[in-house]
Amino acid sequence: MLNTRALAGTQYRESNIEAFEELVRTYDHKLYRVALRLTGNPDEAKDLAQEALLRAYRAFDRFKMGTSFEKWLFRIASNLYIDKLRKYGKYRFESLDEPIPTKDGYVQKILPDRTCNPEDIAEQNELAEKIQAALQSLPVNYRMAVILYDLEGFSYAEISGILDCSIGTVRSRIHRGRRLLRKKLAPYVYQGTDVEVG
Amino acid sequence: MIRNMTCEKVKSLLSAYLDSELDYHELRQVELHLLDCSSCQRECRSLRATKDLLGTLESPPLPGEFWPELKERITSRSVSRYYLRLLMKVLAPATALLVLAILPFAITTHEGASSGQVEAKTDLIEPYIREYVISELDRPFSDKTSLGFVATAQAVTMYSSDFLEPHDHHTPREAVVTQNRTGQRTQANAFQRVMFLSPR
Ligand SMILES: [Zn+2]
Repeated sequence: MLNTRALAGTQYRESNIEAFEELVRTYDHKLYRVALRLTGNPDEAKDLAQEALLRAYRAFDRFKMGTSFEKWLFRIASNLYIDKLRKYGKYRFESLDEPIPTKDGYVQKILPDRTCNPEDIAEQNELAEKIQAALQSLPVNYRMAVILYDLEGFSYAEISGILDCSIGTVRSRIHRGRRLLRKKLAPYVYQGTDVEVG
Repeated sequence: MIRNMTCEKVKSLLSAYLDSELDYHELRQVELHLLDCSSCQRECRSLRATKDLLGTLESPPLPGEFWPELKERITSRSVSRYYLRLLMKVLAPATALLVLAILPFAITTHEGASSGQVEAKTDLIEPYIREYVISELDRPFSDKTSLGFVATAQAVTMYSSDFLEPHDHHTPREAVVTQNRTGQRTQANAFQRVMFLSPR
C-alpha cells in the first residue's frame, strides 16, 4: 500500500527512512531481481538496487503524487544502470562457450535448490547459467525490455514509461532481444518444441 | 486465403502476438496468416519456446543485509564510498560542534560585546534544538550533516531577526553595516563548511 502522504509529511530523517522503507518494501525484491538479471552479479545487483533506492529517497520530493511510484522507481534504476555502463563500460561479458566462474558461489546464490537430486540441480544450474549469459550478451536496451517483460511481467505500456520510449520501440526491442536469445540458446529452444501455434 | 501481410511483416509482429500486445487489426491479420504459413508457424513456436525458457529462471532471494546496508547508506549519505563514509563519521559531528562553538562569537562580534559575554550567548540557539542536535549526535542512524545544517539554519534565522530589530541605538549606522558584513561572512563560512560536507 502506497503511503506517500506519510513520507511527505514527516519531519525527521529517521521516521522518513521508516516511511520510505514501508513504501518501497513492495518493490525492493523486484528491483533486486531486475538488477541481478541486468548485471549478472549479486554484488553489483545489490549495489545497483540500493543506489536506485537511495536516489529515490533523496529525490522523493520530486515524485509526482498520483503517478506510478513503481514506474518512477524502475526508471531511476534503469537510468542509473545505463549511466554506469556509459561511465565504466561493460560490467562483464561471458561467452556462451566458456563456463561462468563459480568460485564465489554466485550460481548457488542465484538458484535456490528446490530439488534434492544433485543431477537435476546441476542441470538446472547449467541452464540458468546459459540463460543469464545469453541475457548478458544482449545490447542493454534489448536486455532491459526483455527482463522487464519476460521476467517481471510489466506491460509494454509500463515499459515504455520506464525506458522513456514509444510502445513501438518496446515492441521491437523485446522482439529483437528474443530473437538474439533464441540464437544463443538454440540447443535448448529447439529441443522438444512441439508447441501448438495459437 | 487473402494474405495482406508478408511473412516478413508477420514475423516482426510475432513477439507482440505472443504477448497479446497487438491491436485488433494486427491480431486478425497475424492469425489469418499463421493458419496456412508453416514458416511463420515455426518462427512463432521457437519464439514461444525462447520466452518459456526465460520463465524457467528462478527468483533469487533478497539478501538479508540489503536493508541494514541501505539504511546505513541513506543515513551516511555516501555514494558507495567507504572512505567517504568513514570521513563523514569523524568530520560531520565535529563540524556540528564547531558550528555550535562559532555562533556565540559571531553574534557577540556583531553586538560589539566583550568576550565575557560569550558563554551567556550560547543560549541564543533555541535550547530544544541544541538538545536535539546533541542527543542526535549519539544515535547511530542520525544524519549528522543535516544536524549541523539544522543548527546553522536556526542560527541564521535568529541572527537575521537580530538585524531587523536594531537593539543597540548607540552604535553608529556605518559600524552596524560593517559588523553585519563580518557577521554574515562568518555565517556564510559556517554554512559553506556544512554544505561542503554534504555530498548532495
Ligand atoms: Zn509467413
